[in-house]
Amino acid sequence: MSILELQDLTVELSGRTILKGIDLRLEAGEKVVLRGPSGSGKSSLLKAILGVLPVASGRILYNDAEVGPDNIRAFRRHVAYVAQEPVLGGETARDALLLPFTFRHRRHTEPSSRQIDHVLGQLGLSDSLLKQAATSLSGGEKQRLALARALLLDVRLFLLDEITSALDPESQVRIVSTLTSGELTVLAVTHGGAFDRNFGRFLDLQEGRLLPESDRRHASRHNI
Amino acid sequence: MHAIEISWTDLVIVYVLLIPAAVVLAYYRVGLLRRLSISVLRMSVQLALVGVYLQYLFRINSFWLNGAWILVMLVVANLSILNGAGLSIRRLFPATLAATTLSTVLVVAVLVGLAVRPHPVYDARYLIPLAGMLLGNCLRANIISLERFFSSLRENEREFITYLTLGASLREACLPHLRRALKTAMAPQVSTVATMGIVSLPGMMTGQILGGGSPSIAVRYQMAIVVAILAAAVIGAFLNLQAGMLLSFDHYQRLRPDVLSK
Repeated sequence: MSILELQDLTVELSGRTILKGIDLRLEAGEKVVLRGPSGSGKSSLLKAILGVLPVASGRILYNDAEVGPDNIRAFRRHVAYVAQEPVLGGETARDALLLPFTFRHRRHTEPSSRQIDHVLGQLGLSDSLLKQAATSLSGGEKQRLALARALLLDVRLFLLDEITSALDPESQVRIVSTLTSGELTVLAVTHGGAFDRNFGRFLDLQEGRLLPESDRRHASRHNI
Repeated sequence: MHAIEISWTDLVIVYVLLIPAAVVLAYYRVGLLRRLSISVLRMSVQLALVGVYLQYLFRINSFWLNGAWILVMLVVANLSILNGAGLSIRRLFPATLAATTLSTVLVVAVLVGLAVRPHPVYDARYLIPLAGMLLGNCLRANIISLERFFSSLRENEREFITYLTLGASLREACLPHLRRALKTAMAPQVSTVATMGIVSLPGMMTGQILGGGSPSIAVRYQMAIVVAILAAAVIGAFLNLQAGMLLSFDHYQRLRPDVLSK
């Protein structure tokens, strides 16, 4: 059964078509890399899936049910999204980490100290970091903290937008190994690195269109 | 004790003060000279007409006429709020009018109906100036709060999206922006209140004293109106923000593009 399916998805912004006729099927547990040159629509695709960008035509299905105005909030609660430059929110790193659990819907699912320590350890973060002001963290620490927050949400579908751009190779490997070890379904926008070496499927976007399967290796060699 | 009357000739002497002000604006090409001239002209005509109108209003003192006048004030204030905040009148007018009306009626009811208690309670001499002062002073807070709220949403779009994608409801995702808006709108008013009587002598109190009233009564009126303005500003800004939130997002919690007029 597919966990996420896009059928002929087209996205227009200010009269310009930024994604055209996207068909995509993610099976549960799949790890997929989404590649493409800058401006090809990678980040927009993730935002369109989340209902942040308006869809001009086409359908989004989550567990075979169409995502629409009536269930968009419920759908978002089943997805973890991490942006390239994540917004942490909150005064301290701990506030940022626990931000989702201040929302009414997640208040009763606040993680235990053990769960927090486990996730921080997986990503190579120490718990002393949690006392620091969120604004004082480095770009790499922010990215890892945002991913830690996503992992604590206890959801199965991850949409990741260049989340290792500010990380050293060792941290990248650590993150990819965390994402590949579980049953998570991951759609990750990347520009190469550890994701490419460890993920099983590659999708290439070019000028808002997904390239056919047979062209993908070609596109990845010449355009990315 | 009677007030010293200012004649139209005396008034012209005061208006002469505008000449050096205009020279400064023109010399430095601030670009405000035309607006200043129009504003002063509008103020003069409006106040002159209101002076005549209020005389009749006080004499007739009808419940319906007073109510209609307050409604006109509310409509004009609401148009001014939406224009000042750069928001669409077509989309938001009914909701923000309801919000402004509710906050004004609530505070005027307490101030005039329970505290001042004129006979009749709709006595134009009390109802109209007090409601006018409330509305006029709340205008700025309402404009700033709405303008700041929507500016904050646009400037911090990534924050808003992050909140939504982390499972926040629309209300929860709007909360940081609502806080910023209310703080920016109310901070100057709160600071002004703290220095009142030392740095500034408020207009209403000064007016009453110049008009021959007792300073102790003038002071009590001033305290009442300051507290009422603070309450009306916070309640009005809050209700306007709620109204704005209600009508400004689509079913996906995205800000509707037609909410902003510019």
